[in-house]
Amino acid sequence: MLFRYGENKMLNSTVKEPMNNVTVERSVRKRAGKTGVNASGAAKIVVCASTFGALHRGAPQVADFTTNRMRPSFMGMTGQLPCQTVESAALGAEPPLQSSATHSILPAPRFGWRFRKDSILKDLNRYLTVIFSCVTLFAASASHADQVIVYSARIEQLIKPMFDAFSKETGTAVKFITDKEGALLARLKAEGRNTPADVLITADAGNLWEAAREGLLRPVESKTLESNIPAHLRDPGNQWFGLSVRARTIIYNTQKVKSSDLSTYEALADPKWKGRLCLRTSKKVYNQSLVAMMISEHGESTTEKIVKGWVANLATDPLSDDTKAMEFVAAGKCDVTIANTYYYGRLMEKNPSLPLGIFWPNQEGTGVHVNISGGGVTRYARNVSAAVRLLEFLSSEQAQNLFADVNMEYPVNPRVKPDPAVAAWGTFKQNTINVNKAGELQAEAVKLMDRAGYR
Amino acid sequence: MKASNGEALKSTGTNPNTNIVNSFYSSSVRAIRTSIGWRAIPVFIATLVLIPVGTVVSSLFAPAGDVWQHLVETTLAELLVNTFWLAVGVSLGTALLGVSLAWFTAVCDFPGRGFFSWALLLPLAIPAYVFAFVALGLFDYVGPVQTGLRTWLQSDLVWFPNVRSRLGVIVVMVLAFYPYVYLLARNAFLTQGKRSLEAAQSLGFGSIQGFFKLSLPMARPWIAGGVMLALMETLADFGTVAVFNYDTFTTAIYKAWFGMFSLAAASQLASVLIVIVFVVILVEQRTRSGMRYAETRQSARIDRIRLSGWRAWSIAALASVTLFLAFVLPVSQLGIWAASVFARDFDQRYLEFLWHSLLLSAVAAVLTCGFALLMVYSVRRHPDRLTGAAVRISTIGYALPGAVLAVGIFIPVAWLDNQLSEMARRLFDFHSGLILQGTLVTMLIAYLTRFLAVSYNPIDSAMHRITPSIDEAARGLGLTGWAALRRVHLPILKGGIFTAASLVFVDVMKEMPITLMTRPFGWDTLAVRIFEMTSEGEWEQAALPAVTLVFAGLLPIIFFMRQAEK
Amino acid sequence: MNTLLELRYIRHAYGQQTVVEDLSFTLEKGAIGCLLGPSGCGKTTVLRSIIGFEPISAGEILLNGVVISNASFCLPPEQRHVGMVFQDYALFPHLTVRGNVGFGLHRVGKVERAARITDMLDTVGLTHDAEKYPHQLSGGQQQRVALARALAPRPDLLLLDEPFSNLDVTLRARLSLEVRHILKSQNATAILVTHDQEEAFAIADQIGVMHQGQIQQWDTAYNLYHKPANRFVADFIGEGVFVPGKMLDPDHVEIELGILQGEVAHHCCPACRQCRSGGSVDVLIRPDDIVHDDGSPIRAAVMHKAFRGADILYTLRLPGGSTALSLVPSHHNHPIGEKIGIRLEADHVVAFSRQV
Repeated sequence: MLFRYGENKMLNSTVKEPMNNVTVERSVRKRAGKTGVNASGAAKIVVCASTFGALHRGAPQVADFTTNRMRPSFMGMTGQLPCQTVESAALGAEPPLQSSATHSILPAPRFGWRFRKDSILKDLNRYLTVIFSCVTLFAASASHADQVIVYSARIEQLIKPMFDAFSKETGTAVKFITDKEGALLARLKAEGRNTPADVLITADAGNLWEAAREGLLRPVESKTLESNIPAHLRDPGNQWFGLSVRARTIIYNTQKVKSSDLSTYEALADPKWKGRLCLRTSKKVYNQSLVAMMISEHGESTTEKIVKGWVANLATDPLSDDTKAMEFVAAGKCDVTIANTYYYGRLMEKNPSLPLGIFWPNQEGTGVHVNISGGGVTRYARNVSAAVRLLEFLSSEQAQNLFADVNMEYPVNPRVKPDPAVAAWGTFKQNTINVNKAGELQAEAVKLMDRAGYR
Repeated sequence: MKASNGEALKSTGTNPNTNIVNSFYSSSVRAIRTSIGWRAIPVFIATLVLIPVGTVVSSLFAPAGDVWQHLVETTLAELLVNTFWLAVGVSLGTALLGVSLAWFTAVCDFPGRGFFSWALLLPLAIPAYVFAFVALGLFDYVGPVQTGLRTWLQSDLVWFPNVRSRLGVIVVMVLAFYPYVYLLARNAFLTQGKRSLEAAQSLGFGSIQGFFKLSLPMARPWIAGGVMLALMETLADFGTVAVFNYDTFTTAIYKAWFGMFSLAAASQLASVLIVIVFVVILVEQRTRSGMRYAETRQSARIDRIRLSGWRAWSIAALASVTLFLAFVLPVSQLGIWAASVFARDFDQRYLEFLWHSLLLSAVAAVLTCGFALLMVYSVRRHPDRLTGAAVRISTIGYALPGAVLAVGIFIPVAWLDNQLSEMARRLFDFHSGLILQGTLVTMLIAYLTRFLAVSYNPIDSAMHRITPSIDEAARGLGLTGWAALRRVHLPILKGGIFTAASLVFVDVMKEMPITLMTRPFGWDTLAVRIFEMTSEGEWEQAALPAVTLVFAGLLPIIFFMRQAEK
Repeated sequence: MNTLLELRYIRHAYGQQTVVEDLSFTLEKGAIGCLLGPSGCGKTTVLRSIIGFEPISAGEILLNGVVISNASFCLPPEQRHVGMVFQDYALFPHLTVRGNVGFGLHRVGKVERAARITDMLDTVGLTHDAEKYPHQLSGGQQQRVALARALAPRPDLLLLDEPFSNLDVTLRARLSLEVRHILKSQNATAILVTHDQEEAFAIADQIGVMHQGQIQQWDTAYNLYHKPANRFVADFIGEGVFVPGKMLDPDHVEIELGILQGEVAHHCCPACRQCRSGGSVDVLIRPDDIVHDDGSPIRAAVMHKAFRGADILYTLRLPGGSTALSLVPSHHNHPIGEKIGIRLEADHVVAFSRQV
């Protein structure tokens, strides 16, 4: 290979160059921006070595980034380099690197010549393209044809069966993402006009109210929805609709409490319940909704007294969830608690022998406090018709049964009978205040609970 | 030949001339660019971190109304007290436990030492919120322990400590976070070398005195680093305190935002948190500077102090109890719960969750370590104030609560996205929808912002082993630029890089709020699944993904423990 | 008795391998001793046994007449009042110079502590650097801090493990004298370990040449040089060659260059009666024993010359064939191959039984 250029004598003589000199020249050569140095570059490098000796010595010094040292800078230098002519003579031909005498004086990089400036850039380019295409692969598809995208605060296993049924019936695909309600609202707000979401589904009314207030939902005119869903369970402005009902009621220990001892939520503030009450934390939206409804019924100061009474009666610090509260009641730490009906249902299904009973309070008065899990169509939805169809489907009898099956909730559609196990708990009078009050007064409720010391 | 070449050099042609001028120009431009370029990286990352911080702080200026007033009147005092005691308790607890275990496994010899030296790191695989619900599930009033004791002792167990208390939270967090202190302190004690201890002995200090008077002060920067990591995790944590219903700044942020619908008030609280975090980080940086000079050369491997008799067994007992409480017990309980739901719940989707978790963690680890490496190089190249400040800021992301960070990133990205799609619409009449959003980019940026601190520190420590004389030796042997990087630097940095990658991998696997908020459609991970189950109180169902997560996270931990041993 | 340190037949073994065997010496109060030997001879092990970092498997070590180490007992180092200056100084990087020097003074009251620190810093000449950290000091300064730190608690005995090996040659020469001066001024008893003869000669009063775990000779520098006890010491210390010789009588030995008379300190195997007279011996001839004399009839050819500044060390071939070394003032610059006149001028005669 060396001999191709017929300069072997010259090359051989330069072979004796000390290693350091040659390699410095090689890196100098790199910095000088030579391209196209290929495998036979060994020969060319050697040829250029002594040339660069002169360059090297005459060049001013600049700082080098890898070693914090000074190195020669070739900016502004001009001149013809004979090695260029040699290079241009070898047009296109790239003889393979063969082991030769020069090998011993060059440090042998394991991967040959790949790591030089130009191929580094090429590699970089290649990698970037790969990364970018991967990224765009995962990008949200631009086309929205025939699919509905849902942002759901209801967890997957409680919503997917309904979506699957919808897709089967209508052929429209449903893509969804689950997250906490607040995060979903923040996301919708940030996305603004370009949001991919068509439908927002939450597990409570307060957040739907907030979503409507923030202008994230759009009003929907639909006879089906109006007939399927009672008025107090949907937004008066038609921006959101309840899809299932959960009652928040009193659960008591059947061995220690008779149902005749119980009457209303408010009565639980009575001193006779001291040390016998367990409650879930005030940070969860269900209690916030309950207190909000109480404020709308009784006004702030009365409600505050009631909540303070509850706090005084607590047997232990507020618990993180309803199920735990009910377990505490069953174990005897306390005697009563307030919980959502479907948690009761789940717990009893798992453990039928627990001494827990369900009681419907306020039957003489305004009725049991209810909340809804529901949804609305987003303001900037792409596929409005499909979104509305989804909501209508979810309020239809077929889907309502699924709601009941899957989570032991009460159907919102008055024509649908609840699940037999749920029906066994008895019928009760619902509080018919529009559930949007839960949202309207939620902030007040939270502050009130803070003031009352209800953690 | 030299002379003739020199002459050829002086003659100027036209075509070759411009070629050369161009190439020389580009090389010099590159020279200038590199000197700015390197500095741009930490500045870029610092900006990236400041974006969520800035977003949060900017909402400060929107009127918060009466919410802040309300907070001050009702819960602020309690929040401060709670957060303070939590911080103090966790710092002290992790320091005591981590340092003592580190000392005994690094310097002494007792039965089972070899096993314990790596086993004590296993709790890293368990997220703190999983610890929380396991602890409550086991030790709460209705849990098996109390129920069993009640039946056995036939009493009402008034003496049994209340798990859902401040002490309970502190204990759970100490068990979850002590590995950070353990790891760093162990490194310190191992690299201290025999000499220092012998010097202390020659000056009249016995082994116990020598420990308190010399080893401990010399290891202080490492210990402080570990405690800071644990503290930042504590401040950022939401899952654990939510399960315990323990009010801290973070729970107040969530309550103000989602409960009272006041982003402004939430931002104000978050800003207070950020100030606290800044202080913590400044303290950490100051102690970290002490580390630089305390980096002794690896002297002879320490001859272990052989313990015997009751001393040896009591230390083995300490290590066993810690390992039991922090790892064996939670994993067993999770296993039992998971087994009860396994048949019902385990399906194709779990493998999908697992795959997503692994993939995301791996990609995030590679990305974060890459950036950390770049940052370390730029600090090395430009050890000046600007770079130092940029680095310091870049590490803040670790202490921000996940949701705050997620929203803080989300809002600007969404804004950017909206601008881009507006532009696309106007220019090309092309409805692109969201470009960045719903892709992995947002997620990865959020992970990068959050976990850079974790990957920066090990790589930084490893970089200090590459002294300027090593660089010079490499240059003298003809290696510069990429070759030097590849053949000299990377082998030395390899240990630090693998450590960093493993830590980030495990952390991303455990991470929840950011994943929840920024994931693309259909990209559910194990952590997401755990969240869904725990939000419904379904602890048993949550145990299945939890135990999968723990075991998936164990691999990198074991791997990087091997690295640490080298 | 004024003996501070006494080692009696100590033995140290790493498993099967014996590092130090049957080693004994004593050191008086106020004296500076030295263990000199090539690498691997076990001198550092002896030092570490004295301070108590290594136990011994046989023998006894006594300090002030009290047994501090024997086969079954090893007093912990912190209770021995023995100080040590390590080869790599082992300064505490997180403390200033002041902190380092004062580290061992924990049993002393505050006022006296401060006074002692200032005193030590003065002695080593680092008063202006008291607030610096070790990484900010040069090698020589660090060594002085290490010395000050070890001396501050006034130990009974000070051990120095190759203290100058990290310093350059010129610094070494200067610091050797300084260290000796400091030690003497503090009336310290010290043992130095080194492989450098010049260092040993400069600092120590008594030097023990070690070889393969045993002390070959424990003596003053002068005696080591002029009266080596065995071949190894003769070889190791200074320069010289062995030339064959014949014993004429207990006071005379004949070698090629002449008859040496004087105190023949020859060393023989115990049962050898031939050495008495008529026996063949090897006589040690040092470079200073052969003098260049132009007028001498004996001429030797220059084989090799080493320029040493003031002198030239010539390697000469004697007429009889054997080699000799001669130290000649350097203005006598003879080329290689030239025959120069030499003369024998020796006071001591050191002869060893002939070895094959």
